[in-house]
Amino acid sequence: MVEPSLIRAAREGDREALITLLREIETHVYRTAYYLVGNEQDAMDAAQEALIRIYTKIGSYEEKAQFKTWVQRIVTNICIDKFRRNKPTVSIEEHEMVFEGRDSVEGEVMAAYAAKDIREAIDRLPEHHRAVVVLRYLQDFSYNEIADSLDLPLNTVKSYLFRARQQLQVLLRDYQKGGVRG
Amino acid sequence: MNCQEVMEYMQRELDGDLTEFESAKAREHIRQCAECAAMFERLKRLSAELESLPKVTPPISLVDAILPKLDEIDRVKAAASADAGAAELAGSAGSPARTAPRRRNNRFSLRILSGVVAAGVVAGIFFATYDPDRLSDSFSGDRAAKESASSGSSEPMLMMDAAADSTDAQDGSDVSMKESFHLTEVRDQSGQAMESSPGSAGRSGDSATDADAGSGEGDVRMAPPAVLQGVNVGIESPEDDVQMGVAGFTEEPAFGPVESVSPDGSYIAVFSESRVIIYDRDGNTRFESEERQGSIAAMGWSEDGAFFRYEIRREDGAGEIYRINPADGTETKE
Repeated sequence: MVEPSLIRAAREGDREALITLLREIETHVYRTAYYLVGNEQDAMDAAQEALIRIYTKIGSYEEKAQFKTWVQRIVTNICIDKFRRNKPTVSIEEHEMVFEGRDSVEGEVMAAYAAKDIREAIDRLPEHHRAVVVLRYLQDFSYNEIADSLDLPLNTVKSYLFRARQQLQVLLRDYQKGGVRG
Repeated sequence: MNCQEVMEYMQRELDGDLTEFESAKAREHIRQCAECAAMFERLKRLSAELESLPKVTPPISLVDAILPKLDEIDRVKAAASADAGAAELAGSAGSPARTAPRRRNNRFSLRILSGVVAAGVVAGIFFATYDPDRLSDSFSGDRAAKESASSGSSEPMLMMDAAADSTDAQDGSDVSMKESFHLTEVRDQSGQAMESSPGSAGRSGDSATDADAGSGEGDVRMAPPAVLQGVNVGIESPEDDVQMGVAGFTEEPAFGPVESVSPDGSYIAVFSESRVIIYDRDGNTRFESEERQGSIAAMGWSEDGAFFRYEIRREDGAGEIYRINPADGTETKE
């Protein structure tokens, strides 16, 4: 939690305060970037760009918004806009969840992940689903905070998070089936 | 309750979003439905795995890595501010910048302009990546002198014409006023290049960022970030500031006018003919200092525009700081 007085000083043009503020948030910014772009180098670039944008835009931050969601909005926007990768993502929408179907088409799609790490599975979620998961689990954000950060309606946030987890649990099920893990 | 409804309850349970009543209803279903029970186990386990994802940290300090860029941003702001200041001055008839009969005036103006152009070029390159919308008005160097004063920047600025060691000048880590001011150095060479070849702005831009431009005379253009704390609190030890720009002077300290517009645009301070003169918006003289023995080492406005401070570096190296209150036309030595 960043001190409100520090944020205020930074907004009012105190450069030292602003630099201190950036130091306090840089790990959070980097962490989100890392899980959104999927590798260290791009994460460094994206996080640095986000910090620079925060530096130049601090005057436009309004206190009615939470500072941490404002920061996460900036970094997720950069990651999604500029570091959009060409990697194929699984379109969740094409595979509506079939809760009881053990051998449905989603099973086949997800079988490709069987031997892969859970992180790679996150990596292949559609961008906004991935962003919701990252904010929920790496930033400990509430539904509302995620909605503020990503500029999405609350129900969309829940729907993305639930679908993402639904998709990811298939991975675990396949692990268990194939005896890859526990 | 059907399996699909329970699915949503299980999901919300993972986020601690269920009421006790909802939670009980879900548990009741799960007890009777093996499939949902298995699903809930997998979801809980997935959630636990997600929670234990490595809390990665940056391999190096990102803020340290971007500090040079942040300085660059401040310089760009300063250049925009300089643009506005120069334009305002040029726009007022009989302004000292145009009329003061100093032998180096023309050259100095050109060099100011080249500094603006150089900073503009650097800025353009830089902001092409980061924030293109900020820069449009400071980029075009050939418009710099014509630019209307409304181009927006009310930031205070501080310039000095001095031979400077750039490593000193750019090292902002001390507690002296160096820390509050951001320097852009334009080598004398680049100034000369501008005189003979206005098309060499790109080259000037390169040398403006050249860190090893240490020797020889240079123009140093200083501008503080949006808040000019340095002027209020930073000048604590004038002696320590000696290296800030005037060390290694090779010429008599004869300068063309340097000027600084107050943050709200009400006043412009001009150092010319060894005096500081404050003009108001209409070009009336609000204050004129005595003739100062030495060169001007630093100057700038307080954030609220109520005071203008400047530092005179005497030939013997001692510094003198003065504070002018343009509202009542007084000056005090600090």
